[in-house]
Amino acid sequence: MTDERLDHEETADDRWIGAMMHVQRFDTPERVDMLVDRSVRSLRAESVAARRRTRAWDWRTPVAAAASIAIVVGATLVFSPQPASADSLLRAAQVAESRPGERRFALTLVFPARPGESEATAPRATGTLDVRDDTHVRLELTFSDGRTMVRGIDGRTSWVNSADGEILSVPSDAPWPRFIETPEGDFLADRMDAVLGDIGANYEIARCSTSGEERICASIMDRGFRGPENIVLTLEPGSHRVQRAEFTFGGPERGRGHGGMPPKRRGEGAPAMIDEAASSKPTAETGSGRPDARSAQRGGGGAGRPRPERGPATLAGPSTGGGGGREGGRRAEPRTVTIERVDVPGGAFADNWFAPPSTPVRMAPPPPRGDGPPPPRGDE
Amino acid sequence: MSDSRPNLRLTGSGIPAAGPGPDAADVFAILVREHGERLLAYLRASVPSSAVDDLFQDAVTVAWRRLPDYDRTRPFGAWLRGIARNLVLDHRSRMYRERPTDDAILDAIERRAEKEDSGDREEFRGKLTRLDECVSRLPDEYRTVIHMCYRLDAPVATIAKEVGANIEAVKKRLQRARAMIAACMERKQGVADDGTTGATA
Repeated sequence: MTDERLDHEETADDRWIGAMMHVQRFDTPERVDMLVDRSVRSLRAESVAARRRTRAWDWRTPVAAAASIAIVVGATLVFSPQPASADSLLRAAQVAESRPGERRFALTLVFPARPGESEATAPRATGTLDVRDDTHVRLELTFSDGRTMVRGIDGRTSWVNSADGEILSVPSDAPWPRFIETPEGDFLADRMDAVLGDIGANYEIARCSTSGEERICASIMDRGFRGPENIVLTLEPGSHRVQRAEFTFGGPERGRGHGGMPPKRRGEGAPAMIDEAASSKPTAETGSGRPDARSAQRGGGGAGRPRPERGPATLAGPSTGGGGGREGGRRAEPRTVTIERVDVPGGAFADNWFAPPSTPVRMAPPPPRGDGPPPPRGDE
Repeated sequence: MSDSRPNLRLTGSGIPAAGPGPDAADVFAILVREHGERLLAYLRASVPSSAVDDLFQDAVTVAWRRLPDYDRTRPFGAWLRGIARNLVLDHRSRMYRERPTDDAILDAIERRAEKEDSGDREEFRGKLTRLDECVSRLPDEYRTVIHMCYRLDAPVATIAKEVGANIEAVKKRLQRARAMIAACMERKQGVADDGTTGATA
């Protein structure tokens, strides 16, 4: 049905017959069921995420859970109308991002600088996230101290490298670093459309183009939503796909009780990404980085999903209970997470790109709970 | 609709209550499925195709969020369509400033959709089958334009070229064809109703 149809269907009866023709043609019972199932799945994910927010939220979950929460643009339209142009853009981006395809994202994580040091020297991690679908994913990260982490899943084998260069297997359902995986196991990169829906629901959005770019700036509006404080989306002209997304976590004024990032406790503990993923010596000794540690906790330690409790909804303090902290304080967290779409080399990933480079030698054993490697510092 | 007054177990936040058996989301999904085709028909009559799926999902989402406010004495389908209507109006205000659909048409579509509230999903699908039958019984000249317009998605200008008529003539032919289809469906509906009544009697 095109807009033209509405031009020549001049009366309500015309419209109704035209609509019936299209329902008869397009909206088979299977399609209707699919549409309903899709909506309800989103709602379920939202409910699960809401429940988990009450106990397991930290800096990573806002980004990750954003990918799992329902598309609630409808609520946005009804209750909190956004500037039309930004809203239209957001919706166009949602449509664009709902399409499948191989994609590569360049990742940059910037951690807070230590007190007395400049932001320029703040620890960083950079890398790529390659996605074919939710069972073919490869993450590579290099930390500013030179350490690397590679993790993949090729549809059958889930694997990770160790600091010693060994390839270790991990349970296929082991969580990934939470900044790319939702509590439900969806990938942020795969669920960018849902992220956009979440932005529509919980953020005040406005176009912020400076030179005709399709750019949306989002500031958190729902203080109960524990997402990043600010998000800047740059869309690809024409396709409206998200070219770049920058997530900035809250400032000191936004305490955890408001659902934002916790007050910064610079210098305390390791940057969370390391905690999650880096194959530093400690993790190598335990066989893996944190993601695998979590999976091992789940599989071997019996912790299972949901992941270890971290405290109440207020997330009111370091480590937030549950033994998740270290050094008596909460781990540092990245100040910004940037995801930028880049070209897939050669247009498509090789068939074996997601497979382990060699046969895993053993399962990644669990690390001590709450333990983690040191921060990615050049001086360490 | 088999159950227009669902016993939905909800927590205050709208999150399904824990416990055995189907949760509120399951029940909600069943209800929405029951009314899915009719809601889609309403949306397809009201907005362009490109917006239909989005508004459908939006309506479902908003309905879920407002479920605690749902008056169980009201038919679920009408309530769901009421939500969809607000979304249609909002969509119109944002997207159709240049050529807004007339309020009177939207109201008439609403009234037309209301007629479907008393039936169930199977009955509505039966109407779609009858629609097909009615199209197949159209005189050739009308069936051709309907086929080209609604099955092949041909623009009116293309149809006009194909059938050797001008654009206005094709629009008129389409309009007459739709009127014939509507009349045919009403006749068939009457026959179906008589059959039901007869069987009941």
